Amino acid sequence: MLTSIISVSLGEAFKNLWQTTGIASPVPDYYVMNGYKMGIWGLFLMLLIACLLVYLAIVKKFEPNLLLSIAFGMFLINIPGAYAILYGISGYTFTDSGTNAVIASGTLQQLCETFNVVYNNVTPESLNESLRLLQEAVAAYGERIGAMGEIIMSNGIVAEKGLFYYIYKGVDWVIFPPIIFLGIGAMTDFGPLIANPKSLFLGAAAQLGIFATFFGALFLGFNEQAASAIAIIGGADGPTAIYLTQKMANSTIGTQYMGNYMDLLPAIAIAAYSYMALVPVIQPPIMKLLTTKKERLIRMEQLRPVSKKEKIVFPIIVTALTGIFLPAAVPLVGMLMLGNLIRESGVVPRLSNTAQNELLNIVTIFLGVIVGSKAFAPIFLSTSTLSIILLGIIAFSFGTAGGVLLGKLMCKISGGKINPLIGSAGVSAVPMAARVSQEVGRREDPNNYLLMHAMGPNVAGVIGSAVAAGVLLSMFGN
Amino acid sequence: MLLALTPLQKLSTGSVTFLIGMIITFVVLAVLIGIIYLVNYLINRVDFKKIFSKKNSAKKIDDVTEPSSDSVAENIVVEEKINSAKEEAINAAVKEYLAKADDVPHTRYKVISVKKVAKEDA
Repeated sequence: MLTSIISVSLGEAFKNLWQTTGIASPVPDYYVMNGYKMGIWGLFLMLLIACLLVYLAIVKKFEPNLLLSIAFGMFLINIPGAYAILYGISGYTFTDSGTNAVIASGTLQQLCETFNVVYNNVTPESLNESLRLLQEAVAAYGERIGAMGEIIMSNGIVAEKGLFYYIYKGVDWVIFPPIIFLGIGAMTDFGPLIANPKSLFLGAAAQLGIFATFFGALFLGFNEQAASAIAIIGGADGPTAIYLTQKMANSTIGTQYMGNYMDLLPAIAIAAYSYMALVPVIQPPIMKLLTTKKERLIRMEQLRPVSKKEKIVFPIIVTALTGIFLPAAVPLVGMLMLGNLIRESGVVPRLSNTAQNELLNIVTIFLGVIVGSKAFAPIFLSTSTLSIILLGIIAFSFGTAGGVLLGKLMCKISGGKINPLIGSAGVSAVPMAARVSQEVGRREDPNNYLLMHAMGPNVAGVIGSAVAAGVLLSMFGN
Repeated sequence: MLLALTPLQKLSTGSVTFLIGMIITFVVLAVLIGIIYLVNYLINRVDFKKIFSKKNSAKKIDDVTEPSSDSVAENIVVEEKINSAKEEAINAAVKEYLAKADDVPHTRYKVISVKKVAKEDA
């Protein structure tokens, strides 16, 4: 008797131990039911990709400030079984639409046991069958207890919410991207832009990539909201890409496709940041292709000095103007300009330091790791990810070309006073794109200093991409 | 995620978004350019101190009456007199200095400051 009790208890204990391992249940049921077939091998593939990104960040120094956190977030989430610990246990909640009362909530297995439904997890089809039977059982139960309305089923984290569940709120509530913009504003000197306001046109022209890619995304089968979120990669602005994707997901129309938007976020964010890191590789061939040697040799006149008063008035005016014309862009532009005002006012050095160092760094770590954590194998390993990566590079190339072509036009109009190479800096990867303009210029003439001239279009690109995001949000985000 | 739009609908949605998007982006940034130029003009070209000090002094002189064209003309005449007095004083000072020191090279001189003294001192 005693032996049998001990043996049963030990058996139970081992069974429980086995079920908690990542090998027994590497991914939540929900993803298996929705067609994820690669099982644990998909996770291993993502672990390899994460290691590759870690290598690129550390050895090749590709945008390491963000890529390292993204890569490690990706690594963490793809460890078999880690999803349930990091985000929480996912399952189903059944709600009475009449009273909003929760009728039942739990994992599929728990709910099947409660409602006496056979839980069969052998194939995705058998799992779906279990879910269908469960829905019927809950509906019958709802009738018995006198539910006032329809029984609505939703999928999500139902128990033991983990660390990433809470950190993700920063993205879900669209808090992190504007805070990043605050830090960028505190780091940015808008002097070159104020000294040469015409460079704002180059920042506008470089948004060509965004709107051209929107076109392409529509034809690849994405809807307007998804196409907008993908197209914004062309702005080469990671926070704006995350902001727009999340806003689209939270929009009235977007919520109908909530699951799909959630799927797009990691691919869009990773594509945006990867292409930002690859600016020195992607841009120079396009710049050389679209310009002549004579144009690349143009030396530009020195910029006029900009007074402190102008630098203080600038963020106030930009914020007011954006608020009037494009309220949807105010969270991004407003925070960018607040950061800049803190910097230029000169009266709050502690706040300025915090905004450009501690605050920015903390949010960057959280944002990176949480974006990486969304690259979970069942979500990331899909054809839509490949489409997004492809559309991203098209967007980026078109953006670069748009800036350079307008630079050429401005060069002609100004009688050869503007070097078209600064146009490529209109994509807003600050300051990387400006450095690329400088480098390509110096390859032709080692004494040609284009950096400060390129900083104008570069910071204009930040404003331009935020404006473009605002346009798309106004058109499709309600 | 997949759209039930026909290729023609996709074409029209894409074209309209492209055009509207680019136009709005350019217009917003063009307005911004205009405002930056305006701010530059107001801050660097217009001397507000002068404008306000003139207004204040005019107010002090004549609190009640409106400034007449005669008073403006009078001000110009006074300013011209002051300028010619300054010029004379500078020339006299330079001549005196050159007469005292023969070995001073005859190069260009720069007036560092002009100080206004009280009437009784002059």
